[in-house]
Amino acid sequence: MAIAGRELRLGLRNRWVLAAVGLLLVLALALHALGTLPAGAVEATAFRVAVVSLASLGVYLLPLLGVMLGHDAFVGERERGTLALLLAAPVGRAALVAGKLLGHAAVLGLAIALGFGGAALVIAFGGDGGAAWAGGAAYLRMMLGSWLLGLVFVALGYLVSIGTRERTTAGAIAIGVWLLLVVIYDLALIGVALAGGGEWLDASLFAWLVALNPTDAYRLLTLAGDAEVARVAGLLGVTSDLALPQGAELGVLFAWLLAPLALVAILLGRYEP
Amino acid sequence: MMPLAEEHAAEVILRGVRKAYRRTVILPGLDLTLPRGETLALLGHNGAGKSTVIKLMLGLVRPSGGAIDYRDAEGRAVDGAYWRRGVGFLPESLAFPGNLSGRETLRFHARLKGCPPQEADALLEDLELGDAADARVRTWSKGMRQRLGLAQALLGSPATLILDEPTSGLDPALRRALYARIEAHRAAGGTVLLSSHALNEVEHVVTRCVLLHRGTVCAAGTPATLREQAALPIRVRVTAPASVLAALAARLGSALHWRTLGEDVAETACMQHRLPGLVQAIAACGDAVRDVEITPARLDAVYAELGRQDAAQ
Repeated sequence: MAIAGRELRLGLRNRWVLAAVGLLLVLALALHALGTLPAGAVEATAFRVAVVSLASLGVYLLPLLGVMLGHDAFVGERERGTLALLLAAPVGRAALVAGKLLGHAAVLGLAIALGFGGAALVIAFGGDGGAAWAGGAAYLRMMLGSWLLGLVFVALGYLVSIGTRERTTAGAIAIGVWLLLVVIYDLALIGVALAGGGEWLDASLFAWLVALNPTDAYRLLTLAGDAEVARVAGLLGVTSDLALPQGAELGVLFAWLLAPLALVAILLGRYEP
Repeated sequence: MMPLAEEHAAEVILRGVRKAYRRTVILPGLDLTLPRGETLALLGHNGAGKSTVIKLMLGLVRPSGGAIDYRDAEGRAVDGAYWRRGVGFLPESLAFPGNLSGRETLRFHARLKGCPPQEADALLEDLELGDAADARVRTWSKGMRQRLGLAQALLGSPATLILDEPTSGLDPALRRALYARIEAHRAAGGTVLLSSHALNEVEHVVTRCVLLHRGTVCAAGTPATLREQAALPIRVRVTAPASVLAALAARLGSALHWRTLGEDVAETACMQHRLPGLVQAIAACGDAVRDVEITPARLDAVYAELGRQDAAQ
C-alpha cells in the first residue's frame, strides 16, 4: 500500500495525471463537438457516438499512456538506486509488483475518470435534454474497458522495464511493443487475410487471431458489445460473424494483464539490481 | 538516541563465496566475517567487489557458489531475512524521486519498514533537515540528499548499518558528522559495515579493515596492523638549530638519511623498529629541540603498498 501511495503521489506530483486528464478530456470534447456531424444520418444518442469516436482513438492513446507509465517502473528505480532499497526492505517482491500496479491503476483510473468522466458530464448536460443519458451504460463500459486496456500496457511496460538495463532502451522497446500490438498486428493480419484470399485463414482462426490482440479485444468489448453502438461503428454483426464465445474479449484482456504480471513477479524474484 | 533493535543482530559469515556474471568473475571465492558489534571497513578500488559483497549479504544478488551464514549471539544459525529486518542500508549513488518532499520520502520508507511516521520526522530534525523537510528533494543540495539517505538507513534503529560509499560527495564537515553517527552507533552496541576508498578518514572510525583486490582479501586487520604489514617508513620531522640537527644526524649515523626542509627543520624516515632509538636520540638533545612531528604512513599509502605487494605475488 505504501508503494501504491507513493506511485499515485508521484503521478500527481509530476503532473502526469494532469497531463493525461487534459489529453483525454480535450480529445473527448473535441470529438464530441465534431462527432455529431457524421452521425446525422444515423439516429444515435450522443453517448453512443462518443463511445465510437473515443474508443477509436483511445485504442491508440491508452496503450501509449500505459507503456509510458509502466516502462520506467523498475529500470528507473534501478538507475536511481532506489530499487536496491525497495528490495532490501522487508517487503515481498510480489507485493512490490502489486503495489506498483495498484498505484499505476489509481493514476490511470483517475485520468480516465476525470478525463472521460468529465466529458460525459458535458455530453449529458450539454445535450438535448430527455434522453441525454441513453447509451450511458455503453459509455461506462468504454471507460472501464479503457482502464483495463491501459493496465494491460502498464503490465507490458513492467515486463520491458524488468528485462532491460537502461531507461532509454526500455523506452524504445516499450514504444516498439505499442507499435507492434496497436498498429502492425492488425495491418499484418489484414495483409495475410487479403493475400490469401480467405484460403490461408479460415474464419474462426481469423476471429481468434483478431481477438487475441488486446487492442482488438478492447474494440470488440466497447464497440460491438452494445448493438446500437455497433450500428454506429459499422460493426453490426461483427461479433456474430467472428463467432467468438461470450466474454472472450474480456478473457483475452485479463489474460494480457495477468500473464505479464506473473512473468514480472517471477523475473523480479531473480532480479539482481 | 533510540535503543537498537538488538533482536535482529547477527554475525554474517561468507565462506568461499563466489560471484560471477557470465564470464566476468567478481569474487573468485571470498571468506569474510562481519562480527556483531564491529565497525568494519571494506576498502578497495572501484571494481574490487565491495558493493557485490554488500549486495550478497543483503540477499540482493545470489552467490554463484559458496555459502553465507547468519548466526545469532548464541551461535545458532538464523535466516538471512531475519538479520535483514535489523539492517539499515545506504546504497551507493542513491537518488530519491525529486518530486516528493523529504518528509514524504522518509515517511514512505518508514512505512516500508513498519516504523511510525513520527520516527521519520524525528530523524529529519535530528539530521538538521527539519527546515527543508517539506520542500521537494529536487531542490535539495547533494549533502542534504545524502543525509536523507542516511536518515532512511537509520529508521527503526537497526542493529546493523550497511553504508556503501557513504562519504562520496560529502564536504569535510558532513563527513565528520557522518563518522560521529557511526561512532554513536558503535557505542550503542551496533554493527557497522562501510565501504570506502576514503581510507584516511575511515581509519579513525573503524575497528577493522578488509582490503579487497579483484575480489580477494589482500589484507585484513586493524588500521595499525595493516600499517605494520605494509612496512612503510614513519616520517620524523625535527625543528632545532642547524648545529643541533647536524649533531643529531652525526650521532645516528648513516643509516638514516636526513633531508633539510628549511634553516632549522630536517626530516627523516625510519622503519617502526628504529623509532624508539631515534626518539631517544632526539630527547637527548634537550631543550634545543623546539618541535618534533612523527607521522605514521597514511592508510592510503598502506593500501597502495599492499595492493602493489599483492599484485607482485
